[in-house]
Amino acid sequence: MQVMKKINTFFYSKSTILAFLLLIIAASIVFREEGFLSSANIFNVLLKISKNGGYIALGMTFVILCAEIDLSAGAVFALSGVVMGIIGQSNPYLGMAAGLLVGIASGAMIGFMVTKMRISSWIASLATMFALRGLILIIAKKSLVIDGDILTFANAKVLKGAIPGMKSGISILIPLLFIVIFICMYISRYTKYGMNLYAVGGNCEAARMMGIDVDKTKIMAFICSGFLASFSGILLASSSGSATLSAGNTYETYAIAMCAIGGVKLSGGEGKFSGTFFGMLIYFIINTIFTYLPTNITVHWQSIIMGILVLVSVGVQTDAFQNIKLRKKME
Amino acid sequence: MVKQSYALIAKKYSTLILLFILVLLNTLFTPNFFQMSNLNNSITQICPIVFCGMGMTLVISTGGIDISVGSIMALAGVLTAKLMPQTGLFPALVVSVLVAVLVGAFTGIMVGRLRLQPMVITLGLMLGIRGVAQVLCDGRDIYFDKLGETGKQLGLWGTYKIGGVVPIQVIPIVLSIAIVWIIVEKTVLGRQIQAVGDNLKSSALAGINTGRTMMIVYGMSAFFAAFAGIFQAAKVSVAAGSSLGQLAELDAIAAVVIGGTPMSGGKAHVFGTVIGILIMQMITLTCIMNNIPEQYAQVFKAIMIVFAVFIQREKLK
Repeated sequence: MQVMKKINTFFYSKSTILAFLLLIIAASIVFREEGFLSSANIFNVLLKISKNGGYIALGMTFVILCAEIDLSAGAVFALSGVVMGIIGQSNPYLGMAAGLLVGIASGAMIGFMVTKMRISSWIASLATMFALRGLILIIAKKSLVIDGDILTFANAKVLKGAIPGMKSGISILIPLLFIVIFICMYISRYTKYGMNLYAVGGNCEAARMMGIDVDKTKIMAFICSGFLASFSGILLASSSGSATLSAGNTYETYAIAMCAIGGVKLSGGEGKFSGTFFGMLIYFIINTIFTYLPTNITVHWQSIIMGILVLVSVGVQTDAFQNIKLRKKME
Repeated sequence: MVKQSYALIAKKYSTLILLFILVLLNTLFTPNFFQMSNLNNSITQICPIVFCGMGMTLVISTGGIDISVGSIMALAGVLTAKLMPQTGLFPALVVSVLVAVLVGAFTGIMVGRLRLQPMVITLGLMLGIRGVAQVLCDGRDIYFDKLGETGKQLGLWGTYKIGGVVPIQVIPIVLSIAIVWIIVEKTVLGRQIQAVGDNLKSSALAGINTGRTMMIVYGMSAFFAAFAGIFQAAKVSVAAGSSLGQLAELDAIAAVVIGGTPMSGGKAHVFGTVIGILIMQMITLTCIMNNIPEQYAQVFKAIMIVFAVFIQREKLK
């Protein structure tokens, strides 16, 4: 009985990693001729994560951990790229800083609305999303071309010759991704702020009574989300050389889905950044698999599979079915 | 003492006052504001949001949230358009509404019986059902005028005018508001919904069948969403899996919250939601009629939403 219970809890807690492994094994068997497990493809997936808004899921995790939500991330993603494109024409590094500042400012604004004005984060971030999407169209009429020093930075290669099969080295974005993830994991696990985050998400009132500055914790979480979204937007714009106005549309939905798949509880207070990372991996691996499939299977199936994954992952990760048994016993 | 009670009244009717101010400003400064065509246009435009908003009022008053309504709109619209040529109009309608209600009931079972978070369940459904709708219509838009006689019939649902003046959408709008108001105010179910939203555990202990209540609430939300999708598709005579009902859930949530229903549940303000919808429509109308460019209108709308929610928010306990 005890052993069974241990096995049970193992499957609950490690379900995301198990799903990830299953997916990798299945995909590498089915697509072995296309070279699914080649290092080029693995780095391709990691590159996709860092360019196409994987960071948004990390930022979203901060916000969800303290039981709020941020719908503005996709708009921040697009706006920061556009701002960088405009200001970066004269000085690229100033442009980068301005882009990051956009994210920090919008995060601070949402945080202020949520904590000081006591507006639901749904409404606050939704309104911010509308406003930023409008702002993008006000400051830019069409997509911007980005060139100069930033391009050379974002497309730089590192670790030349260190990895077998990748003679020309890997993109600098990949080590950057891991650094950011480790920073996030470190913050959530080993700092006072991380502890506060879980406390506020678990029980806001109790955290307040314990003397935690709830408002500050929440504002910081929104700033983290905004910062990471703008960081991601800057990376996409600078590595692809153009800032598109409609970039990042509905990315926030997928970011929330990645968190949910990774076992981050949307009611707050539970979840890990490593879980979100595996959620990101699962999403982008499925995304890659669809490029291998024959063309008559449309990309729309991808959205169906993501939906099913979210539902299944929630079913597996919560102890919902045990709850029912318990309740039946009590009644 | 008297001063305080004035403040209380002002707070209670703050959204109504805001709506009144908006109407007043428009009558003064917007040329051609009071015209029949203007009113009729508004009625056809708010129709889907009213449906979604009514369902969302019920869902949010149970303390949950339903972000799958936009996708259900798309599914119902596409399914109806897909089935119509073979089965005729009414069987197609019945089937697509039934499918939507089944989806809603599924959400309700997950939320009510298994106690899963509504946000995650509806997020999964939002992604999945949007995909199903897109696969069903093969990523292409289905134009009603290519569907023959039935297509024309359904097109009438969006364009017919009673006596040549009032758009047909008035009937379902009034009907849906009346149904939800009666449920919330006059029936046991309404009491139960608000009790569940206030405190799930104690209402379960008091003998309320919470699972059944949730199932009905989410089922109704999906039911209204299905009709919203059908009416929206009929209005433009196109069923598009990718764009139909996009962001409808967020508009509905905004309208409900502006109307004073708290996100934490326990209270349902049906007429509040109606006022919320009218305020949003008023903002859009103001921007369009004064030739404010779309991008500035978006910023203006955002500020107004925040302001409307800010003036009526609950006092800190």
